[in-house]
Amino acid sequence: MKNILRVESLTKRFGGLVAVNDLSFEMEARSIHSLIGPNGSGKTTTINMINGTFPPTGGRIYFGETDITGMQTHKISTLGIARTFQNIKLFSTMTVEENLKVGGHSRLAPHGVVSYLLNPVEARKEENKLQVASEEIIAMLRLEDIAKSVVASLPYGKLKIVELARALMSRPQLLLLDEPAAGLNPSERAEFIDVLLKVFESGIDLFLIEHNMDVVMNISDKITVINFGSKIAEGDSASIQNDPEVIKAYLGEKYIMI
Amino acid sequence: MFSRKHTRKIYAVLIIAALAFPLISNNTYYITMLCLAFIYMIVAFGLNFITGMTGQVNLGTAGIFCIGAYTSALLTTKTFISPWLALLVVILFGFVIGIALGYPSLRLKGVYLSLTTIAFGEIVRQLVNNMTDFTGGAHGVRAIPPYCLFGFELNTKLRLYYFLLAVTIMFGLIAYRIIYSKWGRVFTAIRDNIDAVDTCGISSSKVKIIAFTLAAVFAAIAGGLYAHYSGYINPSTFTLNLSVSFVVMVMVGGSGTVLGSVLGAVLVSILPEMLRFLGNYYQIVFYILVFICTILIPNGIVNVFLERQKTKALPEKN
Ligand SMILES: Nc1ncnc2c1ncn2[C@@H]1O[C@H](COP(=O)(O)OP(=O)(O)OP(=O)(O)O)[C@@H](O)[C@H]1O
Ligand SMILES: [Mg+2]
Repeated sequence: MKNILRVESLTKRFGGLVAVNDLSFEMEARSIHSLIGPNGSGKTTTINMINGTFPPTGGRIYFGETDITGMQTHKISTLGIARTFQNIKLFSTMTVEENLKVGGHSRLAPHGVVSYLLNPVEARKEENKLQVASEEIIAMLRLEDIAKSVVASLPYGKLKIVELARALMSRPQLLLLDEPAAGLNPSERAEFIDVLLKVFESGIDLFLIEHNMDVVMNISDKITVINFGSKIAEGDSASIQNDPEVIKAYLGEKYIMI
Repeated sequence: MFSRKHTRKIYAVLIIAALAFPLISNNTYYITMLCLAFIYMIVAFGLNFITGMTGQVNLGTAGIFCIGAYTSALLTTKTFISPWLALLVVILFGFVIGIALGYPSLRLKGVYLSLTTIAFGEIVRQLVNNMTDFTGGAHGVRAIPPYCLFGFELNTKLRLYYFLLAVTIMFGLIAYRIIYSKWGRVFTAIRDNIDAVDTCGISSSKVKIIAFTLAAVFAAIAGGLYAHYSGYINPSTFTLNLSVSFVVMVMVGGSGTVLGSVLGAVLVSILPEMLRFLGNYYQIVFYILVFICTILIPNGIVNVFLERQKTKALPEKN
């Protein structure tokens, strides 16, 4: 099987703190791969290095065959990696539709300012493309009723879906999701799983950080578990659920004894 | 509450009123005031991209305005090239300054960016003041020739008025097109959440530089127009005070809108006259108004009436 993502000996130090420690894993193309671990174990830091928020202290990251280690975020995005944030990062004074259009800007509307001003026909074409693409995704994620609402006025659960929708506008090959179901109630969560599967079926591979085990265990093809920045286990959901190291990391030593 | 359709009607009314004004009133004093307001509007349209939309402070606009004015004034008085040719040089300079000022903004934020831009404005003014042989120093530049259009010299108040009105409408249109386009969206996105902009595959650095460059080109052109409008310039015009006034125009008038810049420029240039009866108290009253507006309506007057108010960015939730 071909890899879409390969991480080799990835390490990140913040001063004296080792947030990610010699982490290696491979993600297969056409799969849903989850990264789990207790709070502060280095999950977000890993995604931040993959998407170029900051460079790793050591190690390499390959997207397909391409070495993307230390590349700038916007370049990595145009190569085909999109992401969502643990602490939602939307454009809060803009409408849902406008947020989506910014998401599609670099793929569908690459012309510069001067050519935009001098060529109104091309400008209109670009805007139409953005309109069509955003309507498609709005329909796919059933956001029609809030398409024209300003983001700041929306409830938390909707914001999560809007952020996902914006990420889809770049038509990525790989989507990095940082706790997409956090803060959702069980029914919202079930709905969200449906949405994620729909996204996966549309041809986008998912790399998922998640605390809700119902989400992780149900949809992951492979799970990597980290604790204190190091990998402690890897496998499918059944093997992870029964792994003593994982149980120890999540529940503490004494539960193992029982 | 107004929607965008309504604002188009407002623009139409404003343009008609501006066209008719000299026919109704032949008070040349007001006409001169409005000419200045038009020039200020162009600066405000540009500054709006930086301060009104991407949300970054620029307190050095008077410096760019000054460079535009002196470039055009010196070229036309010392080398006798036409003001139109000088305008091309002015645009080029605006371009270069915009890029040069944009770069610090990639690293500096808030107070530090403010200080950098203030320093830039003051350096320009001091240079102009002290390079006496080249710039005329505190005496300024005199006898700056007017623009010529279709064989007419734009040397009467009325001709100047209509010329500046036409230019201002043109820049207003450009600004409007940029604001309500993918660029306007991306500028606002930078203010709302800069990290997310890069994640969307857009280089936020490049966009910031584009915003600074647009603003600088607008301000430099306005400076050139100013030189030929007044026929005489000296360094005492281009103070930090003027830079602050430009920010006031954008923010009190209404950030992120063309109408806001129009209103702001008119207020800043006409209000002194309306409040003249207050004598020395004028400045106090003016700044009390600014104070109150900033606290009560941080997005400016126009946005109070626009359908969609720009709400403040959400606090980050972790
Ligand atoms: N920019 C940073 N500067 C300094 N320390 C950081 C930075 N980012 C993360 N850390 C530290 O690195 C460690 C790993 O953080 P990270 O956010 O990756 O954890 P996480 O697994 O995502 O946790 P959570 O489940 O709480 O989101 C933590 O101790 C955190 O305090
Ligand atoms: Mg995290």
